[in-house]
Amino acid sequence: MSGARVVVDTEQLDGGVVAELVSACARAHAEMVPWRQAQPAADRPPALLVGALRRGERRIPAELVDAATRLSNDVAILLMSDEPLVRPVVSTHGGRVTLLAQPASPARIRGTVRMLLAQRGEFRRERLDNHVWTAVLEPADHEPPPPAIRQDGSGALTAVFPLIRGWSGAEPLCEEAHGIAQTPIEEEERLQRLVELFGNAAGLIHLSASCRQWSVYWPTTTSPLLLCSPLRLPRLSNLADAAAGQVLHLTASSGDLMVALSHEVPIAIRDDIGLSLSDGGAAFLDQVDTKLAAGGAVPSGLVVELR
Amino acid sequence: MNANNTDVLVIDDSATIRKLVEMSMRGTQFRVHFANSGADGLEQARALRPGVILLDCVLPDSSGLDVCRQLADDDRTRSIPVLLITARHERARDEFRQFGSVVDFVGKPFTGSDLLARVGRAVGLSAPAPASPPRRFTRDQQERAAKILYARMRDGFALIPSHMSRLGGSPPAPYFAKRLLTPEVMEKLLDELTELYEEVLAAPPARGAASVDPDGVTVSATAVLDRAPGFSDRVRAVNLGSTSRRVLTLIDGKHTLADIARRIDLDDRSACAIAQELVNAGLLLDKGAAPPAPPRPVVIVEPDVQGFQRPLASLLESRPERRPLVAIDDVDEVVAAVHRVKPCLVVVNASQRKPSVEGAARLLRADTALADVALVAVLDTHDRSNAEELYSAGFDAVLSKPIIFGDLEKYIAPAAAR
Repeated sequence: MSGARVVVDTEQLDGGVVAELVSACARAHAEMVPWRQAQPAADRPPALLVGALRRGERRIPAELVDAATRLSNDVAILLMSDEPLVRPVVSTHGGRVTLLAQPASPARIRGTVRMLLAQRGEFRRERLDNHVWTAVLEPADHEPPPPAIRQDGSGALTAVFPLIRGWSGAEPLCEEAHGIAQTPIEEEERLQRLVELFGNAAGLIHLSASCRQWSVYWPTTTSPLLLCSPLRLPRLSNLADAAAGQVLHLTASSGDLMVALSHEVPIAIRDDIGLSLSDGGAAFLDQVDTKLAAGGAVPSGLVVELR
Repeated sequence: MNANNTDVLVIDDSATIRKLVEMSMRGTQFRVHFANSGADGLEQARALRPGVILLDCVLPDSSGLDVCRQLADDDRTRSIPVLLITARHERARDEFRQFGSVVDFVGKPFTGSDLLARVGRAVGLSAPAPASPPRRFTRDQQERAAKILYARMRDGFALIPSHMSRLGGSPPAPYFAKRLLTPEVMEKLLDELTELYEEVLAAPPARGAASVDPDGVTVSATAVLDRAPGFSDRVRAVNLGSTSRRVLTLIDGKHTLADIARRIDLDDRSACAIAQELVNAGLLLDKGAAPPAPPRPVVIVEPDVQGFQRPLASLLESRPERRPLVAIDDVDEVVAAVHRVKPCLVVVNASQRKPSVEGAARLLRADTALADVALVAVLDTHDRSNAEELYSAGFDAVLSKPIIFGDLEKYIAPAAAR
């Protein structure tokens, strides 16, 4: 197998968790290796090390740190916590260590592994950095083209999301849109410049440097722009109405999940989306993949998750 | 070799590394010289001819490779052994293999004793022992101080890897700071801090300064402590120093902390600090302390039960103190409810622009007995045209949905502390 390697502490982790990890690795075409059998391999260092964090422990187990150091200098670490934490998924150490809180649903476990593997797990439309995970839903033929994403060295991210079929300006205009979103100008002028740039053809989602603020330009109410977070009230909101006629700014918070969809989806599917979004962006994509495999139609989309 | 074996030249722009080297070499036969750039380092190396050069791989004006190349090209510096300071040994070994002068690699983080041994080997000496000044602190005290320092600054340390990435440097290994706080480092750090502390204590207190224990220790030496419920489960999950363990084994719910401290030859202040840590970790209970007051509830007036009330109730329930939520149907009832349940926070949906919302806020603000109750208005939309009026009526915050729970929590925490 030539995919990523995932080293798992199979001795310490619960059997049910290990079963979900096996399933997640299989989906990612990744090779799962029991920790104590893992040997350093210069040509294929592991992408992910999964261990357990016992109740009350507030430190990464020393054995795990040693294993991480021995196996690879930049391996990501996923710790399955035995207790609830401040959020279902907590990212620490500059994004290198991820803690998964109890209770963790199977979808959450599989989704977190998918998120941490991202492009290394052969999910080619998914990107992970220290603070943000992004994913693009492949559009079907009759859908608008895929969004363009631009992220600079400061971590600021801009996505241009086409809203009408056949519009091809996302990629060429993304750089300029990124500049408009970041420039300190009057809000009216910012709105004016975005209207001139995109009109109704595209929306813009911008996450500021250091991930402090979302800015949204969304000139339609027919395409949903969902913001979901277990630490927001309400947990799921459609920002499309609130964004009408303005560039909407919201304080960003870890755990935020912004989902742009090219068109409204039936209520039943939206309930599904709400449910799967509560398990994180990657769990939502798992559900979308399942629908695609069953022959269902899904809208073109973009998912941005703040870790 | 014409070099002076006792001179050590450190070429590194990191103030932290320079300080660590300086502390490690203090009291030894080595004289340390510093250069914070490649150019300065080369100039000093030619003039000084040190016994060994400690060289960082990444410098502000050049790379470690460039500096090595120029040292090797110059007859005056070619034979000076170089120790490379790097976080990536394997890669560095390949890159620097071409330079015979690079004799060893010092990994980050490093300990003082390891550095001394490597420097000693590089200049052909046996590992030099530092002149050992009388130790002011026991190993236990060093360990405890390291733990406290690490616990207090953990969040700050955790930010360092991401800053390093942004600055283009290599992020340190997880828990690098913990490894850095070795007994040798702590000994010197404690020396410095003690001097500073003594200076501060010698200074007259600032006017109006409250009499508060600077360490936040509330357990007194006369306290009688006992094991807290769930002790056996918790103690397995907590890393304790040997003195803490000794204190813990003597806790019996009968003797005062001062009695126990005397039995293990510990001063009262240290015993109180240790006991406080154990209380904070949930291992011990102060039998004489008043039982904690039940948490004050949060009152809410919000029509969205499914999307707002229920998730808020569940978030409050998940807090350590399991804070209850009291829901009120009508804003006209909120003043009576606040008098009845004495909440720490009142959350009111103010989108309806009812005059009674502002009226209720004014009534609550007029009552000095309710001065510590926080008032937060929530708006369904991002239209904030009535925000000014709400603030004028006495609301502490006006938040638009979807709000972040943390924005409410900051009004809960101070009340919880009270």
